[in-house]
Amino acid sequence: MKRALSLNGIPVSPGVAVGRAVLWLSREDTAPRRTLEPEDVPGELERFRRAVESSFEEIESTAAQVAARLGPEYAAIFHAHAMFLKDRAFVGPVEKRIVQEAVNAEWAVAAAARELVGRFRDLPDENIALRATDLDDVARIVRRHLGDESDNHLRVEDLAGEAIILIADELTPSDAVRIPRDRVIGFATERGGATSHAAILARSFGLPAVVGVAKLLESVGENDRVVVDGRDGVVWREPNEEILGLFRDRRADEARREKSLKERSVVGVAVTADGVALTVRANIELASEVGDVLEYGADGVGLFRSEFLYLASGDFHVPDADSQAAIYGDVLRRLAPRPVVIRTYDLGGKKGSRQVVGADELSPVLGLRGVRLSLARPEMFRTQLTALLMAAPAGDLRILVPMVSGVEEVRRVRAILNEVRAEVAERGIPVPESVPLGAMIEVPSAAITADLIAPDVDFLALGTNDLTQYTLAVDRANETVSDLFRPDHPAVLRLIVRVVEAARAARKPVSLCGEMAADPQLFLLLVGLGIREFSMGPRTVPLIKAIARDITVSDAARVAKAALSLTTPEEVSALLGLEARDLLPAVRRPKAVSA
Amino acid sequence: MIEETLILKNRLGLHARAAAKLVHAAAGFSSRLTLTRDGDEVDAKSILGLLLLAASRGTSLLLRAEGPDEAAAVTAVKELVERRFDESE
Amino acid sequence: MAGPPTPRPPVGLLLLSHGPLASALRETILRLEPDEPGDMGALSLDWEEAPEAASRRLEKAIAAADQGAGVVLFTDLFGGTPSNLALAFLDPGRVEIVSGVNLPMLIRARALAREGRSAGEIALAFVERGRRAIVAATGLVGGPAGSRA
Repeated sequence: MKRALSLNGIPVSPGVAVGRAVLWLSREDTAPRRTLEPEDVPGELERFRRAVESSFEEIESTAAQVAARLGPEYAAIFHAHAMFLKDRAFVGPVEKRIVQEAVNAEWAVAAAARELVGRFRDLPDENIALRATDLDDVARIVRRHLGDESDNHLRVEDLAGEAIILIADELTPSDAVRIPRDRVIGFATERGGATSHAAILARSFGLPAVVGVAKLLESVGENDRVVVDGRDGVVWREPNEEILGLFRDRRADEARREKSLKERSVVGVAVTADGVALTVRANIELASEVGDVLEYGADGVGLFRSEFLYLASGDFHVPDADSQAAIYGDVLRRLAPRPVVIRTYDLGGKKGSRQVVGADELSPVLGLRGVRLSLARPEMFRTQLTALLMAAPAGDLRILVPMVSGVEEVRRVRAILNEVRAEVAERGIPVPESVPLGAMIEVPSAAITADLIAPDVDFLALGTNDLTQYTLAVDRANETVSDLFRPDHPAVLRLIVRVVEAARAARKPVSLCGEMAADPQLFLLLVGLGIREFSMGPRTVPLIKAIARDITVSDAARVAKAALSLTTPEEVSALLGLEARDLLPAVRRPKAVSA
Repeated sequence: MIEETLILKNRLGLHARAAAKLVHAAAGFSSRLTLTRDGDEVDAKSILGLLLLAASRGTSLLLRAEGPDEAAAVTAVKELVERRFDESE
Repeated sequence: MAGPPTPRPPVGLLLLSHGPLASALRETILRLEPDEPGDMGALSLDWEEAPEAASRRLEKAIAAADQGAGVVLFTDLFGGTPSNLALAFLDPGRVEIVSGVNLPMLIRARALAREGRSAGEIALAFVERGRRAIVAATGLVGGPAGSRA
């Protein structure tokens, strides 16, 4: 029986995990080495270049999936990887080796990467040194595309068993993003820092994690019982009952708190302290998340991102109306009588653009996407609308149209919807009299002309992620400008007010489904600006509902009025921080760690 | 060919984000651009090269530009550094 | 015949807590017993302090308190962050940790250290007093008997 031992490291994701250690060591791997005939060298260079090209596509595709799943700022990690592939400082040395040593590409890549990675690791600046892991990740991908099977880097898919705590030298972003979260409950690495991408991903997954643990690998053995303390940054090996008891108590406390939040959440619509009902629904992408909607007490689904059903499989493929209807119907049934807002395909932009749009767009974010794409691909659109109408009787369906830039598009969609309705009815399939049709307000022109759009729709949904992006002309996934992405910018706030007023004048409901709703301080501001319906990731629903019950709309309105008179996002954020101390005392803002 | 000495003023120096901004700025020009620190010269369009310079705040870098748009390139890079890469500190 | 034993330096004493408790306790003791020789270290961790930075500070403080005969660390609460961080430095016989510190305990510890007791003996002295909230860490990791009375 090993002696109990504790090690200190850097806590990067809170929570306590008690489990069994699975060691994940990147052993010194050897790529195969072949000497080439001189005449084969040009062919090998070509093979390398093609591997770089296909690696680039794979990384961009991973980025798109991560963007849809976790948000564009996480995708930025992978976009940065893609950038390495275009860098002469990476490609050059590889090509040089192929030519000068007449050696195969796999070997050249492994050798060049090893050298570069070594140089990075030696740098005094820790943040920059951490990029070594990114470089290693990219090199492995290229080797895989070259057909190099020798990479004995353990793959997450190979993990067996339950309650696993991964113990590793380090975790690359590609590994972290593929961790099977039903079996791995935490991890600890010897290397890595608070800004390493694995740390960032751990936080978004809610996986307790500690990095930078000196002597980790020499202290923890395979199958050792391990505790990862993501609050204090401590890793225990074979803790005895006393220590285990401590952690069990802590976990029980945290679970109790979460359960009580959830219970209060499930009880019903949140009503503010001054009696105003606030609806909090959930944003989902997969039918499998319906369970979360119920468990976390959301008042329904405020945004079902339908395109993700197909994006997740990696290759875009439009299923027929019957298959789609089955999925939509299932979701509607399980959530009835709660409303489910299904957004028609928001494809194009960075999501599966090449497959669907069929061309390389110069500026995908401003190109053929959302409703424009749907209107340009009428068969695809009609198939989806048919499926939606067929599924509608199963529950309370509402249809939401993305990327609306003017009332014209809404009218066209409604016309098509009416035609499709007639067709479906003609086939003898029961169809409801009318299904509410809403417009997503995320393009500035739609926000500015919300008064022209509101009369022609049944509801409005503010998509503040994209609205902020377009209004401030900031691509959130672009690392070089992502600090400029501020949903608390006066311009965005004024547009929100404009949309709320337009909705009020036309007597149509308006909801907000951007990530800003899940931020307690911004939530307070939004309530003050007049929003009464929200939608966010299911896990954040209980906390927001609890906050909703603690605040008053009159306080929120006062804060909003003050915020609207300020001139910069920094001023707004400072005001909110101050007000939060009084109005949101129970909520502690987690320390922000920039990516 | 133009040469100009730049001094990094922002708190984090030439860290990952700043380097990415510099690469984006430099990539827009056809001239050859390099940055030199203590004799180490790197291509200003290579993010890996810039990161490996490990240039922190206060470091002095020599910017060299050669080509048809060299003057504009130098101005752009110089301004980016002066603006502290648009970071708040 | 052997000569008088070389005087051994006293065991170092280090107080560790959330917030100002550690420094306040130290100040109180020095005022209560102003004429007794032997200082003690006090490390107060900020509530907002990052654990890894606190761990580094703790490491330095332990080294500073050690005059050659080891250290006994007194922490405010078993299971609290300061105590959790301290456990990584546990080295039975050389670095001992006692949690649930209070004033009488510290005054007694100071006396024991002056008497030339070892770190292990001092830690055990509190365990034997058998208070439930007090834990001697060596016992946790399978050390000398009597970890809980």
